[in-house]
Amino acid sequence: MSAAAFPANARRRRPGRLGAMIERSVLPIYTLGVTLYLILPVAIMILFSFNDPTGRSNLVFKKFSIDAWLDPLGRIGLADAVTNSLIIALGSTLVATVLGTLIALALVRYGFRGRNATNMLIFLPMSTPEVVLGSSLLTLFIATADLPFLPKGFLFPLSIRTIFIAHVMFNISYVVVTVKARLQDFPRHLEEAAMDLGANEWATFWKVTFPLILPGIVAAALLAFSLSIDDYVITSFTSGSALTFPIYIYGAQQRGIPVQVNVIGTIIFVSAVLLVVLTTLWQRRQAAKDFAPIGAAES
Amino acid sequence: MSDQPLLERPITRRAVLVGGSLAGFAAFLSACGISGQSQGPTAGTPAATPGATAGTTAAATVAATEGPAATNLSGELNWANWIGYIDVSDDNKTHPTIDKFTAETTIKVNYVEAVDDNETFFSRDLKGPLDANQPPQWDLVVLTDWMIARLARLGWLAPINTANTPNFVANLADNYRGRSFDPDTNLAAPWQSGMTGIGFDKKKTGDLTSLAVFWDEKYKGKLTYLTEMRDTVGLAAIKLGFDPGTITEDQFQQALAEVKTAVDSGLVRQLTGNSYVDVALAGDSVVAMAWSGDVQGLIVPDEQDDQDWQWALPTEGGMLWTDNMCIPKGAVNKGQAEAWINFYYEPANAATIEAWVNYVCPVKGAKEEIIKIDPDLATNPLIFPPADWVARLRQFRAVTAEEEQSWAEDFSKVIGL
Amino acid sequence: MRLSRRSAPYLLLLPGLLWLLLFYVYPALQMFLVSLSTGNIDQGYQVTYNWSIYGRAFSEYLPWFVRSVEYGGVATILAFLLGYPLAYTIAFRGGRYKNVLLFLVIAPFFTSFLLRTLSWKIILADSGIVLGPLKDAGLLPGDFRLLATPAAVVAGITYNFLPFMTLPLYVALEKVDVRLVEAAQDLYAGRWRPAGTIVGAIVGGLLFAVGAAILGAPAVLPGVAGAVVGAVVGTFLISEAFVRVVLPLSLPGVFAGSLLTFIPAVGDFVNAELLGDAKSQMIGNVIQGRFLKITDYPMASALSFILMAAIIVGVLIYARVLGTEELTGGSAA
Repeated sequence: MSAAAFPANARRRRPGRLGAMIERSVLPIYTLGVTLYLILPVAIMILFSFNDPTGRSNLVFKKFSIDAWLDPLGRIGLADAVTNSLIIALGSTLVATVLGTLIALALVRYGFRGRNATNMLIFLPMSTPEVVLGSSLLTLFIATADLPFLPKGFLFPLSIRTIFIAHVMFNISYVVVTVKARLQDFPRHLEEAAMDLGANEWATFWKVTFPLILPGIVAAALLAFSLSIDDYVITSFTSGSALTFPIYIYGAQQRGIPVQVNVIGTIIFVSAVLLVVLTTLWQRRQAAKDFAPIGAAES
Repeated sequence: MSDQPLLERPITRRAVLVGGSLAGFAAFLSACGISGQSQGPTAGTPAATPGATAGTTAAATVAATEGPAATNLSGELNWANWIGYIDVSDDNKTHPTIDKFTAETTIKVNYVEAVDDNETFFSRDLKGPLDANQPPQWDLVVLTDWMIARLARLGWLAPINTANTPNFVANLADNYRGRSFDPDTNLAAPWQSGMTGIGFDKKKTGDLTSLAVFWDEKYKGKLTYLTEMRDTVGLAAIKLGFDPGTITEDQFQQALAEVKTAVDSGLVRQLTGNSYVDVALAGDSVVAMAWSGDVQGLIVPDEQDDQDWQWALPTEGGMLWTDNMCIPKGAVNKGQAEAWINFYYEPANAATIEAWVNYVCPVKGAKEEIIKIDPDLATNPLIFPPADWVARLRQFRAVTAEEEQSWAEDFSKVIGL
Repeated sequence: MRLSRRSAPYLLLLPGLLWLLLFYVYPALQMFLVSLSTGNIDQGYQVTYNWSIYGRAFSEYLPWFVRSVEYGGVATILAFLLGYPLAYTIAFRGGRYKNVLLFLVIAPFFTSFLLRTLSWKIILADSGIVLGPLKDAGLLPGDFRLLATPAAVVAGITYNFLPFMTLPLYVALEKVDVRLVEAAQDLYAGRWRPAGTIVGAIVGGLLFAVGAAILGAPAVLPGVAGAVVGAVVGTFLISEAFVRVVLPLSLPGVFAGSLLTFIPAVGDFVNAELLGDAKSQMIGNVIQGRFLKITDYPMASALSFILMAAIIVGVLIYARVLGTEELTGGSAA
């Protein structure tokens, strides 16, 4: 398998020494270079979380210090921003994951009129630039300011609630797509077997279907959470004066970012990495536990 | 103080109205700066409540002179201000002045640095509810005077009940009284004034004093302008010899063309809001259109640093602007907002804030108080500009709704938006 | 439960689709209505079916639309050129490092988009860790800069969306059956010479020259450099088996990856705002500014609507080629 598609088939033509060297070394070196490029800004962010800047701007590395780490929320407003971000991310992930999973189930398990239209409606938000999603929601929210039938303050003034609405909206599609991918190679006969053995649809779902698609749902939820907690563009249109962590960063970059922002950024990065690693391990264990005997019995 | 004669000039409404804010400004500076002996209410000042001298605490005052609007004064105050615009404790966790206010009045202050930009704040936070006659989420908002003028024009400001704010009535510097958009001095309470001039890295540029530096090829790619139209076009107009206080359509277009040339030729690196500070600190600019109060933060007192940022008021003149506290129409906690205004206009409180933000203060008697905090601050020209500075400061005139729209539009095209 | 079999899918769909209808479709319509209004901030806006605004939007803001498509296009092609070999290496030569490499590709996603972009500001500063040493060594003129240029904007966009390109490419390449490649080699598919040299030189030269022209740099030197690089790559690294087997089989990944990169790239405004100058602002910046700063809602809405419509039409043309099911199901997963 080595050197499969790029050339070097020794059987036919021996390349010159130079050619061979290029062939052998270029791709690994290249890959190393690109991954370094991808990771460099992250490394800079982490490095600068240990900075002790002289002024209010954290742009030049001055002196190693763990002060910011000892007091990661020690800036006015930062704790609120992080709390809001977590509330919105958790809430919108929960709602979007439930709504999106239901849609994915319907799309994969049933044939029905309006399927294509549904597919299209799922796809469109993903292919609409964020600035459009945000600005159109803003026009809606402003226009609803004087609608009589909505509870006052529901959609306007902008608040944490409107951010939540927006985040659920853009997350639904990603959840549908992720869960669907998992459902598509779903062993249907397991459900049929369960039904044959007398389980009703409800029991079949909870005992058979749900455990099988759970890894897909978890993956979708992780994706939704990471999209939500990092969203700046749409949030900037729908937040009013509610602060989220990205909004805080944007405001702070106008006046010099406190080191604490890098600390929080690093904490989020490390937690996400841990979460992904743990989920992957868990999924492997699940796969080994659940599928192996059944699959073995089938084949 | 050398500007004493200016103080004695009569301050007429007209002088303030027609861009002639200079006399008024000088008066206020003296008011702010000179010790009590020369200070009585100037002629034309609304009669001050005699009892409300500086030093009365806000709570006591409110309790004493209470009107019906603010009887139960616990509760809360939702206040939107600009970032870095109030004192912060040494551990960066609290605003001592706000804590003091809460201790005195039991009013809980929900202080949010929600204002990045006048227009953004207007469209995002105010327009919806005020348009629909709903209560806004803010009880107190700090906005620049031209935005106050727009809100006043729209009838979206709740007049301050001056019976609740005796300190404001007594201690507001005289030149702020009866401004064109606020003839009865009850719509807006000035928070800070600031100047727009030349910020420069002295180690790379030497001393700079002329506006011509903003068009100097020598600094090509190392210059930043501001995205605030009134600052950038205002300075360009001054450079052309126009007074922004009386700027005409034709003069505006000429000044704008001057900006456009600099932007299109690549002379200007970027147009920024507050973030010019970051560009400067990264060493990516050496000259910037800069706001006076920022420079204190720009000067990094570190020897290894090869930067030495200074701020200068151009010899040709610089821009002067004022940010004001105002109460949006329908605000739920209006009485609490008035209690804060009264509290701020107590010179000791204003001085505490001033010592931290380094802008020009609109409260009479603050200078005496600031000397108690740090005598050096009393001679800081950024907080107490000397008379020759005052003579060079210009204010952008109030514009009509049509001008506002078309000029904003023209300017945004020039800055690439 | 048999009875509900027909209504079951609709019940499952209802809450989610309702959310999308209320907060995606309805706001889009609302925005369209606002775009047809006239008025100003003082008097408020009334819907007057002022269609002429679309003519004005096109004529006044065409340069911004063109610039956005150019920057988005250049960034997409750059991401493809960077991402394809990367995805290829991970898929075919990753070995036991496969998961680690994949992880490194998505790692930037775990960091705030704004913080990453701001990191580039530190890295690319005029006398920062990249340009500083080059200037000190006399390799670059002292007034050379990357920040506040179109190049910085495109570089920022490329960086931020590179994972969107790489992942679908990887998914597609992973599916390529190695035995097909071996079969091709057994059938005497060898080096791709001299076609590889020629094609490589032409493609490389054109891409770099056009890219440089779009970024406002002189085109000749980059064109020559691109031709040389292209020729080397075409000569030594591209085999006939790759051109005839692997590349065609990876096309779905190329389509998906380019869409996932191009769409957010065209609408982006953060990179232009943080890394660009007055002459490199994109249509996203205009829309954002018109909504939030100038409060010219009709024009802002018109521009936003045009952007949305243009992209959706473009995507639907793609969808016709690929089929919606594949697009919504396969590509983004």
